Amino acid sequence: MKFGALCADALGRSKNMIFGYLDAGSGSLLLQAVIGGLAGIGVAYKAMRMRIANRGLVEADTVESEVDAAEDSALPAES
Amino acid sequence: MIAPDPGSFRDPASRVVLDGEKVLRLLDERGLKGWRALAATEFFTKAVSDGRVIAAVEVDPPAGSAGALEHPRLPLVSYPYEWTFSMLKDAALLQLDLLEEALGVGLTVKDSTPYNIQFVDGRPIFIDIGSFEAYRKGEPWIGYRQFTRQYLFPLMLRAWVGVPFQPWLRGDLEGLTPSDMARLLGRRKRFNMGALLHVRLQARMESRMSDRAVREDLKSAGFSSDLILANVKKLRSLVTSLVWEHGVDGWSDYGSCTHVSRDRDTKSEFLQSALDRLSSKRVLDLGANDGHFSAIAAKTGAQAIALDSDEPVLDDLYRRSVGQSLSVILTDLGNPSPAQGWAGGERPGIVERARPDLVIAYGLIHHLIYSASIPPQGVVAWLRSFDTPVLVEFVSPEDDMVVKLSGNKLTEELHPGRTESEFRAMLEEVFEVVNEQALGEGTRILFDLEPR
Repeated sequence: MKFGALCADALGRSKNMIFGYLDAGSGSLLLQAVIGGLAGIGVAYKAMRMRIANRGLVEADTVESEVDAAEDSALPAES
Repeated sequence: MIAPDPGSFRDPASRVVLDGEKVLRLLDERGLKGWRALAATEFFTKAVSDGRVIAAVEVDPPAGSAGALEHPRLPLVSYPYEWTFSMLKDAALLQLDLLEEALGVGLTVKDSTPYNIQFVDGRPIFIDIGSFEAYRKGEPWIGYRQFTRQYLFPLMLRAWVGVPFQPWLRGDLEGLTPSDMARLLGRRKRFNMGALLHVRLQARMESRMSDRAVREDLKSAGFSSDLILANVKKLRSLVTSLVWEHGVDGWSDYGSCTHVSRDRDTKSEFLQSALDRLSSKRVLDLGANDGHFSAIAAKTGAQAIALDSDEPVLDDLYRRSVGQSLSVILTDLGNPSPAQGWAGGERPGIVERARPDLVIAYGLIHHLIYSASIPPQGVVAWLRSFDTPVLVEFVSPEDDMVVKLSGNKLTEELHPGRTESEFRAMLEEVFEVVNEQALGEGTRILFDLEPR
C-alpha cells in the first residue's frame, strides 16, 4: 500500500480532536516525522500501526454498543 | 480605557489590549505559566537584548486576568502582504531560529505565523510572547503547517514560479494551502526534495486525512524534539536557498530620470523646511520609490513610512533601512491594503495604521490621475482625508512624464481639473497654501499645504 494511502487508512476512523487554537492538520503532523529522517520514518510507521490497532478497538467498541442498543430496543416493554 | 486589539483574539491564553498609548498583554493561568517559564531563560533575555524578541515587563493585571505584561509600542504594524520578498524571508528565518533556540531550553513556539513578526528599524522582531510555552515531551511542532502556508509557500511562489506572493496572502490570510501550492508548482522542481516533502507529500497526506487525532499517536510512537530540530534545520536550508532574482523592473530605474536628479535637492529642501516648521513625528511618504525623502524625515527623528507599489525598489530600500526609523510598506495606492479578517477589523487598513502627522506626495498624483484614472478632485479629497499637512507635487499636462503616461489616451478620455489653475483652485478650497516652489522647467510645482 502506498505511504499516503496507508496513512489515510490508518487514520481514517479516529475521533475528531482539536489541539489548541491552531489547526495543525494530521497529515502535516505526521509528515514532520517523515521529514525528520530515518528515525522519524520509524516513528511515523509506528504511529500508523497504532492507528490501525486503535481503529480495531474503536470498531469493537462501536459494534458492542450498537449490539447493546439493538438488544435494549428489542426487549419487551414490561421487562 | 482598555480596548482589545482587534487582531489578538485567537489564543485565549494571551490577548493584547491597548490602554491609551500603552500596549498590554493579558494572560490567563496557562499564559502566565508560559510567560514565567520564558522569562526565566537566558534565551529570552538575550533575544530581547538582540532586538529579536519584543521586551516585556510584568505589571499588575486587571480584574479577570491571571497576569499582564507591558510591551513597548511598535512604530507601525505591517502585514506580510505588505512586505517584500526579503522581509518575508528574514521573518521566516527568525521564526525558525527562535523555535530552535526555544527547544534548546525546553520551550516551544506553538504557532508560526508572520503576523507575530514586525519590523523595527529595518529588522524583524518577534512580538507574540504568548506563543512561547513549555515543550511537552513527544509533541510535534504544531505550527509546521502554518509555517509552510504563510512563509515557505509564498517564498517558493516568488522564487520558483516568479509570481508575487502578496496578492495571495492578502486574498487568504491563512496563506497558500499545500494542494494549491502543488498545483502552482506544476511540474517545476520535480526532483527538489523540499518541493517533494513540504509541498507534494504534505498536499497528498492532507487530502487523505480529515481527522485531527494523530498527535497522541506520534507521542506514543516516540516522537521527540530532535525530529523538530531536524525539520527546522532542513527548512532553514530550504528558505535560505530561495532567492528572488529581480532586475530593473517597474520604477527601479526611476532615479535616472532627468527630472528626478534635477529636482531632488529642491524637493529635499522644501521637505526639510516643512519638517522644521511642523516638528513632525510620523511622516507618510506616498510613492516613496527609493526612500530618499523618507530617509530625510527619519533623520529628523520622525518615524518615516515609505509606501510604494514597486517591490524591487522597496526590497532594496528595506535592505538599506537597517538602523533607520523607516518602515517599508508595499501596497498599490490605487487599491491600498483594506481592513479585513474577522468582522472586517482583524487587520486594519494601512491608512488607519499609518496615523501620519505629515504626508508627502511627491511625484505621485500624475500617476493616480493619468495611469489609475482617479479624478483630480478625488485625489485632492483623498489628500485632505488624512487631516494633516501635505506636501504635494503638482505635475502639469505639458510635463514630459505626463505626456508619456497619457500617450495612449485621448484628451476626452481624461478627467477635467488637470491644469495648474484648476488644480490650485481645488486645493485652495480645502487647504491653505503655506508655501510653494516651482521646479525645473516650470511644469511642476511643490505645494506645502495645511488643512483648512
